[in-house]
Amino acid sequence: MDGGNAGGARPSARYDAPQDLPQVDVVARCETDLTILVEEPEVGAPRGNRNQGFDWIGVKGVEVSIRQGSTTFTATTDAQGKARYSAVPCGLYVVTLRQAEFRIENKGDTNLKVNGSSKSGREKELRIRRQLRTVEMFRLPTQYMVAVGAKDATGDDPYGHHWTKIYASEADASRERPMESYGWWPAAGALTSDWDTFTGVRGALNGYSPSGPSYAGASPTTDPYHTKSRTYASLEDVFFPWVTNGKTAAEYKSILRTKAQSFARDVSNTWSWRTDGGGWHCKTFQAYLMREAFLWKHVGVGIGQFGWSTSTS
Amino acid sequence: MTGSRRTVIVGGLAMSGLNLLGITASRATERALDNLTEPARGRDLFYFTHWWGYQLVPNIAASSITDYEGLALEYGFFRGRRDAAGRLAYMESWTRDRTDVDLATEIDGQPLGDRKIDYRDNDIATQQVRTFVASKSGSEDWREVPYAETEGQGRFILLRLYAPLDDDGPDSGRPALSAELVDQYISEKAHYSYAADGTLSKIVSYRRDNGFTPVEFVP
Repeated sequence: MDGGNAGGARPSARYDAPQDLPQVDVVARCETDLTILVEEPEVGAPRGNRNQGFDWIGVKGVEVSIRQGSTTFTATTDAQGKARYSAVPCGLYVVTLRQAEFRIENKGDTNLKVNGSSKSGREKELRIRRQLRTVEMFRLPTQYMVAVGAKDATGDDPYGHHWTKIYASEADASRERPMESYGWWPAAGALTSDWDTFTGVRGALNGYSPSGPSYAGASPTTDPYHTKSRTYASLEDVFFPWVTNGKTAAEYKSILRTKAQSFARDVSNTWSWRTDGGGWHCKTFQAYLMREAFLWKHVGVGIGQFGWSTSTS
Repeated sequence: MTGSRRTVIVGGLAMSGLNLLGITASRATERALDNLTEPARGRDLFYFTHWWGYQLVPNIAASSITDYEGLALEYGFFRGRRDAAGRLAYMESWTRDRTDVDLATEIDGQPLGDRKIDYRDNDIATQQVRTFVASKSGSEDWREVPYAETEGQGRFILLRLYAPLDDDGPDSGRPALSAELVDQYISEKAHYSYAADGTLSKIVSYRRDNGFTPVEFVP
């Protein structure tokens, strides 16, 4: 057993620090792990949930940057809509959101205060709405007074048309280079009388038929109005849709293609126009595509973020 | 437009997604067809940008009838001819396939991006596009020509402005200059015949996607 320093030399009580060591000030670092949850409305959730029947769903693939001075941290949201950061120094950050093919409106805070009060990390929710910039809806008006079996005094289009263009990229969208477009037409030559309009005739996606006559400019993936510009003076409406349900641009486009192809089967290959505007025609086709793909002309938010509403028209 | 069919583009140009050899072959077929089917060019042929209707013979939107000058900003257009009774007798669908050209590409020693596009009243719909065609020698040299000289099937470089998508979007700001390689060609044509009582009796159509094989439709 050690009996102390018995028999040994006692260490010197004096200690001289080496002169070449720097002075070290020990300061507790203020930092925390951080998660930002990016979410948008989810349509189709059971009613009775919060927000008047809308639920919220995480949005994947959003690049979330937080910036303080010259320091920026960037992370991309995962399948749950969460962007995760570790060891973020305390401070006040500016949040910016980006996602290719979308324009994002941050409906929540754009400033983020980070402090070290939580050892397990902090979670911040951001509620957004997104506009898909690589799908574009075109609407030529119907002049109802002259639509059936007639034309107006100038010989211009009384029927109108609704169709949907899909672009590969935002650059293509800005230069109006769609890769696909879809609209619903009566098969070329199928309408033989005004009465057919109401009883219904054979319909065709894009008015294209592989074995019969097609409209000029039609193909399986191009509506006859494929090349018509958004600056065409007769258009009553042209817009990029807002989205819900947290999907990627590729997923929205894929749904559009799939539903455009399956529409004929769903409506028994019928084109029709009822007096109340119902039936299976270009307008109801576009509205159908939009609802199926969670695309909306309007996505609104009410006071206190309650009362979200959507509309295809 | 010159009749040259170039399949080699100067460096710096983005190549078209088209199968150029295929296009060349189709054009050869079409040149032969032109002699057989295309009416002589003249005043009876008119351009328009919009047709409508669900019948086999489309209706021409009267307000969209224009001269070639009026098609400068269009991405596709039509050309038609009426018979003596005013019925549509012939119709062509024209396509303009477009691919980007690098604005750094130099023509006559000047980058495309350094050239100005004039427009009035802050409205780019009034812009005066600039166009360039390959020299007649078939070399890779391009020369600026008046837009009117691009009429007909062929290829040209179009320098133009695009509006930003909207005022508060990511592309907001001034109009953007863009250079595009435009392949302008007939994608489809149709002849309409009428019986003595005025009813449609036959359509003969030619489509590029089936090699311009004539297809007859009898109502």
